[in-house]
Order: sequence, then C-alpha cells, then structure tokens
Amino acid sequence: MSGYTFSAENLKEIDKLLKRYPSKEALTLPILWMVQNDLGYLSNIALREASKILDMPTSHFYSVASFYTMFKFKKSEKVFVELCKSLSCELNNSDELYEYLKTRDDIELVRVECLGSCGSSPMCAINGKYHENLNIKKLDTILGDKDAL
Amino acid sequence: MLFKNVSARFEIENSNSIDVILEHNGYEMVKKLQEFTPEQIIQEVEKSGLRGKGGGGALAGAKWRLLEKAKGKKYIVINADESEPGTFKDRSIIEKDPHLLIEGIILTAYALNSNDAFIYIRGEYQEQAKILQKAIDEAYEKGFLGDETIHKYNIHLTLHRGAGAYICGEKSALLESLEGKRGHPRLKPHTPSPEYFFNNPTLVNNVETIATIPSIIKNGSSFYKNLGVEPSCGSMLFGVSGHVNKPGIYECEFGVSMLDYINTLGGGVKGESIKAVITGGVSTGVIPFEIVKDIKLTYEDLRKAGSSLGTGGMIVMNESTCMVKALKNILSFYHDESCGQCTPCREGTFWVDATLDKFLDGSATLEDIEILKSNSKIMNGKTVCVFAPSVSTVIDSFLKYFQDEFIAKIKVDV
Amino acid sequence: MVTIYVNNKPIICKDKELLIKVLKENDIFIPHFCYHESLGADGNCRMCLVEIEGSKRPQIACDTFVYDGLRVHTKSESILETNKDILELELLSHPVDCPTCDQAGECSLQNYYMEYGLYDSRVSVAKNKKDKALDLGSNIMLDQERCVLCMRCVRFCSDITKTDELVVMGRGNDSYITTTPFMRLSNPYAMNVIDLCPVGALTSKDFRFKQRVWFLDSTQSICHACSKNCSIFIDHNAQKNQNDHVHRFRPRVNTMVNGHFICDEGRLSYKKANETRKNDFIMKSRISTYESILKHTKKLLQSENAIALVSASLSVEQMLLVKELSEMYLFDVYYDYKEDEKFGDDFLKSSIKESNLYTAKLLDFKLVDKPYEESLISKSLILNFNSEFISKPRPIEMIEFLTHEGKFERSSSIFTYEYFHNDMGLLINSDGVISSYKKSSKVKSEKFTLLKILNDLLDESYTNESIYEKYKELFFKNIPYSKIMKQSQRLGL
Repeated sequence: MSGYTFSAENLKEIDKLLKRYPSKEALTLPILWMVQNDLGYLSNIALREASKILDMPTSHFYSVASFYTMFKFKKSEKVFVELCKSLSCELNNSDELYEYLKTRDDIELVRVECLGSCGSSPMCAINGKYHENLNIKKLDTILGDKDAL
Repeated sequence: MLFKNVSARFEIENSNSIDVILEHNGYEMVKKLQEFTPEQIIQEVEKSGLRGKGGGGALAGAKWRLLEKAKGKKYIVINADESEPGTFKDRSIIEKDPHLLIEGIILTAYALNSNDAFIYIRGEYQEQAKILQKAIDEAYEKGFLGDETIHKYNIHLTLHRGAGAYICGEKSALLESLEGKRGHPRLKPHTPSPEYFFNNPTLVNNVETIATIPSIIKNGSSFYKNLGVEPSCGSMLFGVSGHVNKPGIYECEFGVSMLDYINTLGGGVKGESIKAVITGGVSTGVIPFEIVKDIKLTYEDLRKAGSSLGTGGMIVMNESTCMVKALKNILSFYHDESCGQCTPCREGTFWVDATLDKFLDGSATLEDIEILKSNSKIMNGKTVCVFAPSVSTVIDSFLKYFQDEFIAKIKVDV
Repeated sequence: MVTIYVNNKPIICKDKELLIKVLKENDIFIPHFCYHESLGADGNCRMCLVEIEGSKRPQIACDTFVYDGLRVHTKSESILETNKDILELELLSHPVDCPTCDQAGECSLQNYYMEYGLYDSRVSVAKNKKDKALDLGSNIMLDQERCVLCMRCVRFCSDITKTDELVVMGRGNDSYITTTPFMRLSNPYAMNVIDLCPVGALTSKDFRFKQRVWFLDSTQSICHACSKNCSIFIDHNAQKNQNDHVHRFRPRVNTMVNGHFICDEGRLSYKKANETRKNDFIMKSRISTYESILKHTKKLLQSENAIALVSASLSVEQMLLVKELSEMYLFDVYYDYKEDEKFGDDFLKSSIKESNLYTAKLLDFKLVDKPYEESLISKSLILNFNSEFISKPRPIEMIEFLTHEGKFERSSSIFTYEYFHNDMGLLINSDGVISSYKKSSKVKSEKFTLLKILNDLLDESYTNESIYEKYKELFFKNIPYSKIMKQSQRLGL
C-alpha cells in the first residue's frame, strides 16, 4: 500500500489557511476538497494523511464527508452527470431529460437537488460543469463531445 | 419597473474583472473608508431599514449592533450557500459583480472591527467559486485586501467551499460546517446574541445584503429607506422561474405587484394561465392565482397572505401543473436535505415524502391526508432550526388551496 | 435555590440547573433518548419537550435552565400528544421486533410506548431498511434499524474514552451509526455503550439471548476486579432446581466512585462468581464436616505457632474479625497484592487488583516480604484467608478459607465460604472511599459467610454492623455504619 502525499502547492495552501482560521478543524472541508480534486474521490490512505496533518481522528473525516453529497468515497469511472430534479427544472421537463439520460450507459447519472439554475432550467452538471437551458438534442451534442467534457 | 441598485453593473461587459469595475466606480467607498467612522457606517445601515436578504428578512442593523457590542475577536461570514429551490440571485452577484460583494465585505468588516471575513459558497457553485476567487486575488493585488491595504484597514478574505448540503444555508449549520463539522444547526441561544465561530462572535449575512452596503454608504441611508414601501425598504434581486417566458433575476423596489412582475419582467406565463406561485423559494409555500393577483412584493403583504417573501425567488406554475406532483417534488427535496439531527424532521420528511408516493401511484387513502396534516403539526415548532417548520408551511399551503387535487388521487374502492 | 412549578407542584432546586436534571432528580417522568447525565444534552431526540408558561412553542427540557417562578407542564394535553407523535416517528422505521430483541424489558422505546402509546400503527409506507447484527468488536452487536440516532454511543467514544471508534455516517433518515472504517470498537470501556444505548441497537454479545431481563434480580454490589471498587448491579437468578447464577454486571451510578461506567474487564468478571468452589469442608485431604474442622482449627490455634495471610480483597468486616482472631491467638497477619501497570489508567481502572488494600494497610497488617519468608521457618501453622499468593515452603499444617479452588487442593484443611456476590460487606477503595455491597434477599445462601466462620472461631456473634461500629472510632473517622449503607463516604488518604 503506497502512501498519499499532499502536493507542495496544497501544503503551501494549507499553511496559508491555518493562519486564516481560528482552529485547525476548520480546514476539514478545504483539505477534503484538495484530496477529491486530486484523486477524484476520498481515498482511505489520503484521509489518514489528512488526519495526521490536522491532528484529528480519521473518524471525523469519514463522518463529516458522508454528510455532504458532493464527497465521494469511490471514483466515478464514467462521465458524471448530475441532473437537477428541483421544481423549476421539473416544470420545464427535466423528467424528459431523465428518461433520456437513463438510456445512456456511458454515464454515471444521479438526480440532485436544486443547483441554483432555476432561471435557466432544465439543467445538469456534467463532471461538475453547469449546462443550462437544456433539451435532449443539446444534451446529446454535449455528451457526444467527450473531449470537451 | 426595474430598479438597478445592486445589479447596476451587471450589464457591463467583463463586469467581474477588477480593471473594468474600477472604471465604473468600483471600490469607491472603500477608497474613502477613512472618511467614515465605523459607528457612522453602522448607523447608516441601521437607519436605512436594510433587511437580510437570505430569506428571514430581519433588520440587518440590529444584527450588526449585536456583533458590535460583543467582546473578543470578531469574524464576518458571508452566506453564499444559496440552495433554496427557486433561488439564484446571489449567484448573479457573484458572477456579474463579485467586487461589489468584496467592497461590501470590507465596509462591513471595518464597521464591525473585524479583520477576518469568510465567504461560504455552496460546493456546486464551482464556476462561481472560481470567479469569486479570481476577484479576491485581484482585490489582494490592488491592495483592497491584505495586511497593507490602500485604505489602511487590514482585512483578510477567504473563500470556503461547502460540499452539498442545503441545511448549511442555515446560519448556525453554516458555522458548524465552516468549523469543519457536519452541518447540524445549533441549539438556539436563550438571549439575543451574535453567532459564534469557534467561540468568537460572528456576523453571518447573505451575499445580497452585504452587496447592498456600498450603495447605502454612497447614497446615504435615506436614499435606501425611501425606496420600496416602509417597512420593506429598498430593492431586491427578485427572481422568477418555472412556467414563465423570461425566467431570470430582475431587481425591483419592494412593493411592485407580483403579477406585474411576472407579466412584465418574467415575460408572462408560459401556457394559458397562472395557477399558483411559490412566493420566495419553496420554503415559503404556495399561493393560488386569486391571491397572487393582489400581492405586492413586500414582507408584510406576503405575511398577510399567509406566506412570506423569503428569498424573492418566485416559481410560477401554470394551469397544467399537478399540485400533487409539485408537492412531491418539494417534499422529496426536504427528505434529501434534512440533516437528520431532530427526530420530527428526520423521520417526518421521510414519512411525508413516502406518503406522497402513495398519492402518485394511486394507493393513497383518506388517512394519508391526515398523515400529512399530523406530520405538518409535529414538524412545526419542535425542532432545533426552521427547516422542519418550513416543511409544515409547504404542506399546509398545498392542502389549504389544493386539497381537492389530493382527494382526487385517492384510491376509490370498487 | 429557586422554586419552580412542575404540573403546578412547587419544586425547590438550584438556580440555572438544567430542567431535565431537576425533573429526573424529583422522579418526574420525562421521556428522553439523547440526554444522559454523563454526556450532557445534545437536543436531537426532541422527546423531552415540555410546555413552559409564557413560551409560544414547547421547549426541550434538556436545553431549558430553571429560574425562579418557572412554570412547567409535562402532562398537558398538547404535550402528551407531542410526545406521542414524536415517539410514533421514532418507531416509523423500527422493525418492532421486541420478541427477538434482547433489550425488551429495559428499552426506552418500549417503556414510552406503554406510557403513551397502545395505538394501532398508522404506518403504511415501507420502512427504511438498514443493516442488522453487525459485530462491532468488544462483545458489542449493532442493529441499525433499532437505532434512534441519539448519538450517546458516538459521544461516549468521542467525549469520554476519546477513542473515536464510532461515527455517524450519512445524512437525514439515512444516517446510521457504525465503526470508523478499518476500526473495531476496542477501548477498555467499550461495553458501556450497551448501557448507554436506550434502545436495542447496541446489545451485548456476551449476554444476548441468554435471559429475559424481567426474570433477573438485581443486587447492589461492588466490582471486585480492582481497587477502584466501582458500584455495580449484579443481575442474577436461579433457574429451576439450580443454584443462583450471575448473568451480568452492570454499572451502578456512584458519583463518588465510578460515575456511570465500569470497565469491560470488571464487567466480565461476573464469570468468576459462577466459578466458585462447591460447598465443601476438607480436613487433611478428606471431606469432613464444618463442626469437625472448626474443632480441629481451634485446637491447632491453641497449640501451634501460627501465621496468617489475607487476601487484600477481604471486606472490612472480614479483616476486622481476622484482626480479632490474631489478637486472641497472638499471630501476625500478612497481606500481599498485585500491581498491574498495564491494567491501570487514569479513569476507572486501578493498577492495584485487590479491592481492599486500603483496609489491610489501615489495620496494620504486614506486607509479605523477606521477614515473612524468614518467620515462616519458625511457624507450624499457616492460616490462608483466600490469598492467591500463598506458598507452602515445606510440609506444614495449613488451614485455608477459600471461595474458589485453591493451589493446595486437598493437601490442607479448607473452609469454603461465600463469595462477595452472595454476601454483604464494606470496601475501601484506593482513593479512600468506603462503600457497601449488599446481599440479595432473594438468594438462599448455602455456604457460610466468612464472618460466620470467624465468629465461630472467636466464639463471638458479631454482625457486619457491630464489628464495624466497634472499630469505627479507631479506624473509620467515626462514620456511622448506617451512613455508608446509604451511600459511599470519603475517609481520605
């Protein structure tokens, strides 16, 4: 089992943030984001390393991370599509997009709560990036251009 | 009808770049910071009648005064955890004029003797976080933020990303989250007191609230107080979505007619007619057209109609909308987002969500209406925060105005 | 002190005290899951909502601080309905498997249901399924479906033991308790979470499926596993035609000694109570009678040059009578003890494993060391009062007073006497706190107590009380016996 090392840039960022917050514990979310941005998910080894840096038990990181829907304990192997299922999107036919997306096996699909795009609904986030005012045709084009995702 | 105060620079090309906004009076008040005393700024805010724009609508000045009186190192936290369905106004400030927000933060921090501010932005706003971070970096470079600023007041501003939890928009849950914990709202203090960030007195204000500060300082409190309809003073970034032709964010003075707003700025209903409107984010509940047509967009008018102004994010539903399905959509949201701390909310949101499924799959009975009502009762006023009471508001409003549609879905024995 | 009114009845209590504490101390029924005296308030279960006059909404008693004139209602119609409705929600996804649940009989859900409920279930939606029968380690089994998420167990591991093995994962009604990935529950106090759990989510692997708790008798006693003397309940019963059997030790609240907890080793030391020697009397390797061996012992005491060794776990009264005996027959009394640094900690585990070393020292018994070995040479009789440190350097006459099988089985004369779980007495712990353990009124003793045997050797008839009272001024700061029977008393070091 190889270890996990935070990049020099991240360590520098951690140092900077430690001066900003009144307590180390507050760096929990920033450090979880560093790991996830780096690996695409939160690996056990990385969490152990984070626990050393912040001097907090590993249990803390698991419990906290599991509270927030964006943290993943497993890497998505496919294109990750988060389809907004909230009311404005539903009123603008997000169900249609859902039925369409369900048929695609090249993506990992989750329906998520309001992403704050009610004024440009329906919408989804693909690998984290917002795509708004969608219809099936538009979505098909976006998902077809794998390099751009 | 449009009144551009906070949104004044939204249309300028590259308005989120510091070089652009510096040509459009950007940081004007910050440059003059030393011409004001902190007390002067607090008094201007108090006199302006500015109300918090995150949904509660409490007087901002009163909240500031609580912090001003508190002892110890002080923190300013900006709530950019905008997650209420129907709400996307703070996003527009962050995308189109992040420097206005930063200017407001500097003024606020100076007024309240704080040298450390944080912006807690919802995790899903990744692009917006990038824009904001770039703006913060620019403000550091130009000497508006940091240890040696051109306005001679030291202030650090840190962007903190959430990671997917609606409840973190609740101010005490937000602080828990900022402290690196699960976002569980805190037990409320027994006497009026500011919030606390690791035991340090802290102000938590919404993005739009703080973005309003520069205009109040620049134009004076009476300018702001004279806008709108007292005690709903000023203007707000109202938003409209759902079944409308021109969904979006349009800033207006308080007091404009809801129907005019929808028809004029929102481009009118998509479909035949307006059936109902969610007034200001889903938590404010629903009102039918008969009430919509007479509503003015003020805190008081909406309160009188049994709803509230909330975040000002209206969701319009046309005649084709199934209200049972709409309620199911909202209850499923609450079920997903309940933090799970308090029993009534944790179990109640699950129960009502599952009960709505019964209405939709045709297996509901009359008893299920009672289950919705009794759950609404037990979720109201018995939990740590106002999340569960909002669920009650929503259920009650749907049943009050559209109970027939629920009865119509009930299984009839043949 | 202030006066508050609960259901219109005045109660005098400390100002600013937590309301739920006041209610509990005054035996006013207040349902709750998450609050616990040892862990404080968390405010999550909402079971303890009460009506406060002048307050718009009901308030949780675990976050209400009393003030003079506070008027509280716990039984008003609206509060009873609220409590009932919240209980209904706690049971929403509960499997309601009481017939196969070990907690039945001591389950808060069940008790509150009886108090409020007896309603027919209105639930017609599918229950939220979670994991069952998870072995968390340290004899602890978890059934997530029965959990009410009160967080007591998580808080115990984070706040009390600071070992952080347990976590809450997920959110909303999908939240669940589990062990931190790659961890097992493995702290020396882990089993306390079983007692802390108000429902059947955490149960003891050691105890489960063995007994229904309503068939158990509980006796107030003291753990003898080390010199801390933690207060415990002994849960025991006698099956048909069988001797009394001890099924478990549970902590008994004693703020002067152990608070709310005991260590796992002490808890599991109940097994020793079921391993006592059979009720026999041995004389010169043969089964004999009590009377014969008593006569034999008296004769030896008069003729031989004796020395005595006592276990430092004997009770105060037992040691006092040994002292009387030694003064009558002029022999020296020695004691020995084990120190286990690995066992000791700064919480409840003392490295000294004998439960009454304090008294042995107080009575001026001598520590076994070189002079003991040397003096043995000139002795012709050893009296062993249940000490495990006894050695028999050469063929020498020996009388043993034992609760368990001894080293020199059948090579000496033996009085078998009752182990502490079926006896009463006083102990003084390593912090100088004197406490009493009681004898169950329901168990019929078959064995003699050591007190009875010593009385017979002395031709006296001391009771536990009279022997203590005789010496209380000399050794025990004049603290009356009756006071110790009520609660522990501090003698000081």
